[in-house]
Amino acid sequence: MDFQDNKFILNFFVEKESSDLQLADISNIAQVIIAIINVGLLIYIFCSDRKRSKEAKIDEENKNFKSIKLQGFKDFIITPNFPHLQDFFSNLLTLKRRINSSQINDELSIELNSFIKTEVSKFRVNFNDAILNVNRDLFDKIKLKIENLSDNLITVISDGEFNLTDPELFITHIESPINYAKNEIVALIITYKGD
Amino acid sequence: METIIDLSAFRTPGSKVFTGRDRGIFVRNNSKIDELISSSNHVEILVPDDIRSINPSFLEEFLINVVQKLGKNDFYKNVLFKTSGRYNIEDDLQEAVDSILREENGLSR
Repeated sequence: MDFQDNKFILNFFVEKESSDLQLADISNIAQVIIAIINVGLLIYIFCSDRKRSKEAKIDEENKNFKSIKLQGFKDFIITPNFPHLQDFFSNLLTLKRRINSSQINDELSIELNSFIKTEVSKFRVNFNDAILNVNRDLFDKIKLKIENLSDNLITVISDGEFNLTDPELFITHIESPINYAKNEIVALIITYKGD
Repeated sequence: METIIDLSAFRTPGSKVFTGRDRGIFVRNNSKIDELISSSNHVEILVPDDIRSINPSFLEEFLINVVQKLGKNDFYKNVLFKTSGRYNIEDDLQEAVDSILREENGLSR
């Protein structure tokens, strides 16, 4: 065996050992990385579970608060004051017998206008003011509906364009707007969610 | 110094009422009542004789800045409505002024 043969055999063994060492290192590094990923995943799952349960708790508390507020709104504001809402619209419908002339003169017009405004004022005091301190938005929406209704009724009565003793014209210009406004306000109250 | 605003200049032709918030804003801007109240001690507002109603919805928008600036007592001292027809504005004016001040102080605002 000459010198060249010995060198070849030595190289063969050294390279084989070096290759074994690299594979073991890679395997170890991979195991460490997997372990780190596992720990990371564990922490992530723990944190996201905690966050989710915290959010669910806040959501549940909000729902309970809304539910209590809605129940209070119903028990302390709507139920006791609902007859005032019904009275308001029923009283407005008495305009049918109050309008006793086809030509509404200044005196009758001012009397009818005053009657409508008094009813609006009573409705505000007995019903809508109670809502102001619970929900400003709902208060404003109801106020606007009532305002539009009374403005329209007063304009129709004062400007005297129509003979309101005519049953059909009375229904078109007085009765229908009253009933429509009532339905709209009832719908606003029913759809209130306690926000 | 006293300034006069004649509402007959702002009425809708043929109408015997002043109603609605839009109309109130229109008259407030065009009569320049907010500027006049700053430059004059008193403002007199003339209501046409044949008017049958001036609704709170109109008055609230027409007078909102003046009422908020002066407060209730000074408003009644410095802004005078002059009517010579059958219509009496007192109740509607009071309703509008109270409404402006009440809603300004609404608890949920």
